[in-house]
Amino acid sequence: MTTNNHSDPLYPDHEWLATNKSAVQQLNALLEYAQQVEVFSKKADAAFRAGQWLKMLNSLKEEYQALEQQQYLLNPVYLTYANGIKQALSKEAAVNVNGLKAIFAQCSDLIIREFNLGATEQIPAALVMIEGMVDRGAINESILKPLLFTKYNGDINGTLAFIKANVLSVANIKEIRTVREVVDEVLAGNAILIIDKSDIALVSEVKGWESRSVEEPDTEAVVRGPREGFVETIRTNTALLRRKIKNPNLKIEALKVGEKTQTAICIAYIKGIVDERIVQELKKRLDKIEIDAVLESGYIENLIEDAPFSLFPTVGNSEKPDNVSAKLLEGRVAVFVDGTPFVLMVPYLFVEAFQVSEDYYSRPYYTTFIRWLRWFAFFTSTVLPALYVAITTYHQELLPQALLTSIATAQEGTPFPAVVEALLMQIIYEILREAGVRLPRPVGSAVSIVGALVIGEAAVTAGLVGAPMVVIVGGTAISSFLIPALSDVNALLRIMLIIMAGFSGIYGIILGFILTIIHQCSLRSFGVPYMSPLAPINVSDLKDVFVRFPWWAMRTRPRVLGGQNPLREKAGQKPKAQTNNN
Amino acid sequence: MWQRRLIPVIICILLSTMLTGCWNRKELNAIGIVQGIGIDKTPEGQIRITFQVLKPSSKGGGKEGGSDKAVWVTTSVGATIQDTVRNATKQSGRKFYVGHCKVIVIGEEVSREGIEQFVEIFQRDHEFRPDVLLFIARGKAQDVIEADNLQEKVPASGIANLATATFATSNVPKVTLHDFAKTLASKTSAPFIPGIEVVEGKKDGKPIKVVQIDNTAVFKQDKLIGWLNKKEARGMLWLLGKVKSGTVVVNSPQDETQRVSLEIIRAASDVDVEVINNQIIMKVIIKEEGNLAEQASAVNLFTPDIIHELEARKRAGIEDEVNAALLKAQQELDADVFKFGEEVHRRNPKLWKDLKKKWDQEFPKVLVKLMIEVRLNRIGLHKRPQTAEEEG
Repeated sequence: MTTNNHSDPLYPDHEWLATNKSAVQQLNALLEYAQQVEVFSKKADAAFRAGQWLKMLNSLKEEYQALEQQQYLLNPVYLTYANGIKQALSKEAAVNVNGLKAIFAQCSDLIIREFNLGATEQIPAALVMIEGMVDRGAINESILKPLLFTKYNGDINGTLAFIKANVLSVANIKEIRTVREVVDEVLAGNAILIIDKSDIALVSEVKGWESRSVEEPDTEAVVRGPREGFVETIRTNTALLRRKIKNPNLKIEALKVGEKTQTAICIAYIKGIVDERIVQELKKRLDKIEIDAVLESGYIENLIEDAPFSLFPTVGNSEKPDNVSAKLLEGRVAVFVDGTPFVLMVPYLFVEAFQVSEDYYSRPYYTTFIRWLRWFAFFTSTVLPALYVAITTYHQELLPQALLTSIATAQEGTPFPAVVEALLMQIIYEILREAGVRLPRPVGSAVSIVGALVIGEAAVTAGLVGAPMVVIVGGTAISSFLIPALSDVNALLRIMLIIMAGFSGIYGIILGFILTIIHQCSLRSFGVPYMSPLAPINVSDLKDVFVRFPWWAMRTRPRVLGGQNPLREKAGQKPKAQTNNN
Repeated sequence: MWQRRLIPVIICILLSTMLTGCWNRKELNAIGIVQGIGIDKTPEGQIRITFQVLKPSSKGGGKEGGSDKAVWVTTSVGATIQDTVRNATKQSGRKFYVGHCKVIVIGEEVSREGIEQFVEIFQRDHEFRPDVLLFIARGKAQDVIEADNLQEKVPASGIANLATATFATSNVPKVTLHDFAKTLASKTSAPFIPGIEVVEGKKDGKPIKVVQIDNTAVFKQDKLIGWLNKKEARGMLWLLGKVKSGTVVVNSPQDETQRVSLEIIRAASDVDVEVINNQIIMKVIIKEEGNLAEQASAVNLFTPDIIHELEARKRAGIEDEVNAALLKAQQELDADVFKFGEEVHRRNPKLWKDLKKKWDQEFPKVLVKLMIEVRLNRIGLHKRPQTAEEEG
């Protein structure tokens, strides 16, 4: 039998190619098989005639079994599927079942439960599913039991309708007619019922696999606010979102990406709030994706982002339903990807890195203070080590006398130039951080001890690095934790600026800074300027940037997102004190 | 295709940014941080500079080390300042960095010969700060730089602190390099620099040499010509409106043997020029406000009459100081430390054209008409001494 070289036998996609050739190929395959059978018969015949059949018995047996095996592959269901044709199911249950067996050959997790419907009618039927992806209880109680203990009449079409209407106690049932659909549904974790004399299969949705329960995510921890986080199952995730926004205008459009993984993806947005052009653009970009596998939303992010060569992310992500809901209500679009709790959100603006969901749950004054602190920390964590290098090696006059004295005292006798020292400490810090993330929890504390002792204490005592440098790197590290969304950008920018400061002092820092800002201003995320509402300035949107206005004052959604329905609330929401008439 | 052409352009732009930048990278442990400079002349007529250089202890943490001086002192000789500074590296092994130099002390002897050449390089060199403090040593500058300080581990910082603290008495001025150069540039005004001298002090029972600020050196152009004592210096500062604080001590109105301290809270001066019959009259209004700070007499001073009397005495005290300054500057030194020339220039530019050339002859003849307004605002928390009689 010839295999089709042009299409993938596991998942055929090039139907245009296959359709033209399939008939020929099918015939070729049959012919080849027939020839092989003929060769085998002749061989066996010759062996008998020669009287040596006892000798050849074993090899003949093997050959016969191989031929029998091949016969499976001649199953029309399998052949059409392998050749990538949208082939209808066969009327014979056995053909369908054998076809599926051939398609799922060597898939030990496939279960095909063959049985007969009814005690008297004895209609052959089969239930196909993948073990571990279906809910066993539901299969046994809601599907098999009613199917086996119900009486049917002889009419097959009637039987199917009867089963659908009266027998299966499953919420979601649909009819499918093609082999490909059957395969997809089986892989999606549904149970397929195939009945003899019917070319329609019934899909019962009984998905039920082991999954993590909804728990508080490690990222985006809050003191006040909902603690639930997304899980790895897309339906659970969309349900978590739906529970927040109980409105039919919350649209959750489904599609599949990944030729091998067939990963489910959902685009969620709120019709009437979102700028439709953003949704269109997102769909266009998602449609363009042709990749074999999507294992995490990072794959999608890489494939749809505006500035793939930029350090700065132009697609946001979150692990929390309340955060995603808030973004949708501002007019953003979310992308759920099956298999990951991280949901993507576009458009993503620079200022979003400084906004945390808890900001909107706490009172505005402290929040505003924290916002300033975040901006300050971002600035510090990017520039501080570079500034230290620049000032101590080029611009000593900028330091106050007392500070210069103590720094000079500490640097006395350290072997490396300041820039090397800064880079070294920075890299050691990154190593420690990465080690802390990757290590198993029980070993994690060892890292912090070694880090604190060796780097903090011993290195200074041994005179390898100056104490101020340790202080600077430590302060920088802590500052960078305030803006987790930009921590990767931060680390890279920091190292870049340290190098520039080492080469050309504060001039280098300013140069690097200007280049960075120019670059940031040139970015766009799904048509929205990345630095907005700062550049271009949008005064109305500034109420949620450096200052978080109280909710009664944040009447409009961010205008830069171009939504259709800018008003969030009615005017005059500011609470008034009840005047006492006495 | 256009991208392929763009890449070299971008590379060129990026590389060109590396053409500029901050030049002269110097690690902290490769420089000697100069804290103070003393300038003298050798008998051979060469310049001798004494440097006070920070000595960072390698022990880490500036606090330990106890009574050790945190500096070391080195001297170097050369033909010019630049030459001398460069020569200093022959001993130190570290390049001297003067961006943090606090004080420049100039020897009295050199000052009499003129100090403009020093001021010139200190201004020209980018490292020197314009606000570095200037002092004239009574004697050799080297001694001042080598002297110890009772409190500070860096004696130069001690001198700088001394200047700030002493300035609060308004008995000596505080003069920075910039101030001096500015006055020098006016050609007719006489610059002044506080003097500093080495005296005996005691630390831990051992006699050591310490410095103290004393008197004020007056210059004619850039040459030292004489000294003002504390009283004269205060008188000069009154006229310049630079008195900020201090005390005026007067006799108690009720008991002439006892003293009363009157604290100066704020003061200002206003100078106007009048020419009558070719006689230049400077009309100076000095406004002063102050409090009663202490009194030694056992009488109640808290009556309007006595307050007025105290004000009158304070006015007389100020007038006395101003007159002493005028006498010294006009008659003895013929140095316009009061910047009267500049005032004439400002108020009467036409007249100044003629006067400018012969200001040295005109200045001693200038008449000063003083108007002193004093006020005694508060007498403190205490109404009268415990032993004083209560008024009916």
